[in-house]
Amino acid sequence: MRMPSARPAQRPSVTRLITRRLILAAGLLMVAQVVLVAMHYGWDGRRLGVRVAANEAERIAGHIGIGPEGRPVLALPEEHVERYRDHRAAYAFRVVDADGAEVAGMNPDLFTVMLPEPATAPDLFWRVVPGPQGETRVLVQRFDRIAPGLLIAIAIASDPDRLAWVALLHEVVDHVAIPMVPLALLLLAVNVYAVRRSLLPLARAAGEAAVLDARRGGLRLSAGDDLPREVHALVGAVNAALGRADEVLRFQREFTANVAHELRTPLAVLLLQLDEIGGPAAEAAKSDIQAMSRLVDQLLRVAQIEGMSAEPPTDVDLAEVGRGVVQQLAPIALDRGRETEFRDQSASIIQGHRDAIAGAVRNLVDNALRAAPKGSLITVSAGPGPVIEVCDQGPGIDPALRRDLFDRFAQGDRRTRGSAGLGLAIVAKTMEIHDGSVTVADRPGGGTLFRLVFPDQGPFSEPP
Amino acid sequence: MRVLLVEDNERLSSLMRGGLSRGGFTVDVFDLLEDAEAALDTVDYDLILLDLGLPDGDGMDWLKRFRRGSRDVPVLVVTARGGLTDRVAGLDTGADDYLVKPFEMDELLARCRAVLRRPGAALSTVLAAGNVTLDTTSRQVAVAGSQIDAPRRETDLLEVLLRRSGQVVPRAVLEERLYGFDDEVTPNALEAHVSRLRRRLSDAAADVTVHTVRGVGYLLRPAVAP
Repeated sequence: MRMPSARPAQRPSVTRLITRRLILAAGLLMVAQVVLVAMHYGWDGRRLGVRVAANEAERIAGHIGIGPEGRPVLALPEEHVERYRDHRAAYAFRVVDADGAEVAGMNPDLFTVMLPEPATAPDLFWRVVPGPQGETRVLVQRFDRIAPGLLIAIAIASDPDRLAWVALLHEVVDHVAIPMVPLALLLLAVNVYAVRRSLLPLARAAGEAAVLDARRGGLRLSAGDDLPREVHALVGAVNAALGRADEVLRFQREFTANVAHELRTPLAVLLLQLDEIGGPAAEAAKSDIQAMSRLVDQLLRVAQIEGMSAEPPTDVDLAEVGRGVVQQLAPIALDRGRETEFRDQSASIIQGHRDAIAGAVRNLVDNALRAAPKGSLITVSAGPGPVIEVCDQGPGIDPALRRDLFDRFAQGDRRTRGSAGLGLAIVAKTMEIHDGSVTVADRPGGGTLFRLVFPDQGPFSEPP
Repeated sequence: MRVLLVEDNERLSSLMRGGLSRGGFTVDVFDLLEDAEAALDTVDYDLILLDLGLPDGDGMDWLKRFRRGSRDVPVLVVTARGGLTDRVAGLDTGADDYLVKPFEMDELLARCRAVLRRPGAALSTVLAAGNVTLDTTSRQVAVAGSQIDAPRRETDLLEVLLRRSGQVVPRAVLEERLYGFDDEVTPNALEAHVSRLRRRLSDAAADVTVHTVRGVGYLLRPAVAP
């Protein structure tokens, strides 16, 4: 009855799914922002050109100091000089002081336009000069903060060092990454927290449902007022299904009682009537009725075990069960010329259904009584641990027949026809509701050994 | 002995009435709990035979109410619900014994007599099994009518086994009955008494013997013919 539960590790949690989607959305948003920034500069070439040249001017300005005579001096590092030396037709610069004297400069040929006078120069001068090899961009910027009237002029005819891309990258970092990433992370964290919090009731309901044992009646998930509408609906639907399962269980129990009454009462009438008739024919018919009555018993028991599993389990002393069965069946065994004994090998006390377990052991002893030869011994032993064994000195069971030995109505042997096959099905069913197992093996020295193993801890132990 | 039989199947109740009458009982049959209750108010019955599934209610519920009214008439429940749990429930709610349908007349009579013999009912002073008898007041044991001498412990042992003749009596029960708190019980004391009693019975040609069920206890049953 217990379904094998799906490994939770293989299924991502809702929180994880939502987190993943939020990260994706934030990523897409940032890409869109980058595209927007790029488009902004792409449409307006002037802006990017000014930005590139201004960056270059700033870099040169960083290396200008005031010399001993109080005049500005440029000490450009070697790696900086390289750009102008290697690309003479691409980049040029000039540094001019307030008197119009050149402080430093490289590749002055690129300046094909008149530069403004230091005295009258604006803060920023920008010209795009068309030429035979394309446009030359010229920028002149005042650096009064270094020396009053100091001008730095930059000319860019082409861009082999990809300064435009570097500038664009800086723009993206400055306008997209720095302001947006912390915001996105913060939003993500808040969202994940909110989602996780609002899914708590669902997680709780799922947790309750996971430990629910469908075989026990009267169980419901708690539908508190704090549940969100969707979870409330789900819990309601699960509870309705559990309610129907309870009804089925109750019907099954009543049905069993009714069927018992309908079947056994006429059998009782028949038996008593045959008692009155008497004679050998009546005796033969009586034994048929007894056999039929046994079959009815077994069938009812199959139905009953299901119902029984809905009752709460109790402490069951396996040694007491084994001893009880031997005590009950020993006189019958002696009537049939077989001996029985019980061995207590320190069995445990388990959580279960005493009557069902006793019924299973009784069935095994009953079968052994039929299978074992006259004068042989049937041993019921309990333990060590949560185990009960029944072994006989009979002919053993053909290994080919063992596989479906425990299926309902499967018959191991012609000699064990009738209620015996059903009896083994009852044993299997009983072990199933206890989450235990039944195995059959050859006994060393001949005979069959049936072994009932119960879980070490009660199968019904309440979760902490 | 007057018996009240509550059973709604007419054919079954008439067959049961016939058998019980031949067994020496006087039987009143009712098919409704209501009628049975009315009869109980006017007649002192020695025994009630109660079916559980009756048209006007559940016999088990009725029995619970009946016992609460501190009525101590012995009740033998006769039912089709031969469930494992029913048996326990039946005895818990005050039934003295339980008989599952279908049953043979001999068994019904035996159960009726057994219930009537329980403590509280008429005390039978002579216990018997096969050709062995024991007078519970004079403590005399006889085999085939001729008296044999048996020490007190063996007589006590025989009495317990006779009272439950044919059933296995657990060791613990025997030890509790045979030995007082102050007696020092060696592990083999019971075995020794049993084997002496067994020899005494076989020497006197008794047709019953004490059988050992290892790990459980002992039972008195017909000896296997040699």
